[in-house]
Amino acid sequence: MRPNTVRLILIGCIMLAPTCAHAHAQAGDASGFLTGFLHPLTGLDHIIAMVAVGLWGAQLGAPAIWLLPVTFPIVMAFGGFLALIGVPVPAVEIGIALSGVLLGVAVMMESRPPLFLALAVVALFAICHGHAHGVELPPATSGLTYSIGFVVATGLLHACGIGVGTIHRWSYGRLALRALGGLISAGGIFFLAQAFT
Amino acid sequence: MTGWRVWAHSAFYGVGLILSSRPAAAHLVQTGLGPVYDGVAHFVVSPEYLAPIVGAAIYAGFGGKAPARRAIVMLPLFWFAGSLLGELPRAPPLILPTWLVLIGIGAFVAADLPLPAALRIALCSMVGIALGYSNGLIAAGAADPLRSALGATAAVFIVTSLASAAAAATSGWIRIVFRVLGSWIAASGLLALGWALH
Repeated sequence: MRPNTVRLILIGCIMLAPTCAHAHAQAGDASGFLTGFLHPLTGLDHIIAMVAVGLWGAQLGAPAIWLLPVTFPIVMAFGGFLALIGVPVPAVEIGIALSGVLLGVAVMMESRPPLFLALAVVALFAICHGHAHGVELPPATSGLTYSIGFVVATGLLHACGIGVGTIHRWSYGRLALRALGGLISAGGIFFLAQAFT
Repeated sequence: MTGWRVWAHSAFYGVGLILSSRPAAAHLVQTGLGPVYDGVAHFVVSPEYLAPIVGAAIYAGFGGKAPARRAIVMLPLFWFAGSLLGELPRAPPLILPTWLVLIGIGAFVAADLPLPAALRIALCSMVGIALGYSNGLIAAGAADPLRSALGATAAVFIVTSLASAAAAATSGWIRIVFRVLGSWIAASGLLALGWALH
């Protein structure tokens, strides 16, 4: 036997040497976060509604501009919680599509309802969005990191809306914002038609 | 060296290598860089520890510079004490539910409750010892649990220092951003409760 053969045998043995068991070590965490993070970003119906919340908050100004992003994730999580414990919410898809329509109209009309009414409308839609996220967890992912992922993505969509909404301070910006509201509303009508078919 | 001697030597060393398995270390991240870094990595990649510690540090920072400074000492100290208790032989497996910690801390931060500095520090200490104990229970199976606990404590110290200092030094819009972060933590906790009941 040549020395190279001996080396090959030894290398083969080293490669077969068992290493540490990694049982249960953060299984599915990364995929859970990414799946959760991408979930709101891959559905245009979610995107337009979340951005509309931010735009409307920017139009309404303080305290709605910060109250909406603080309360929305918690109410949305409540919707997800209902889905996880098996409480059905009827017509979730219609509710999601309606959120696009009504929030778009609110931005387009620059509507300024009382704060509690604005919060109630947004909270109602937040439950629909949260419920939809809650029922769509893929198998073999970590529930906690999936939840963190979609909460963070939703929050960042609000931030995008608020960021764009800052153009409200200029007159042309105000017009552009209203046009954007019209576009969002049109998108909502499209998704509403899809929900009924 | 030729013939059967080569085969004998190969078989001897080969079987020796295959049987030289290292101890299993279930539930703990292994970086390959030693127990200190294993402890650091376990804390950093575990959102059930990282998120409440960040939240508690932010809440301490909301109280001003004095509570922020005290949190930098107390939170890692209680974490380390909890880790040592959790690593004791026959330590009872009492783990605070993740959802409870996340909802509690997240709600405090999101609401920006105006509690006195002493209560803020007490909250930080409770979070530190509870989560440290839970981390200690897991690290007890590691090759060197004490060094692993030291690594995790160092990570807790760094995270607490950064988060509490940032929260103490900000006001206005940045403070609202921190409150939004708190609402994200609470929302994640509410969903974790849903997963627990799922």
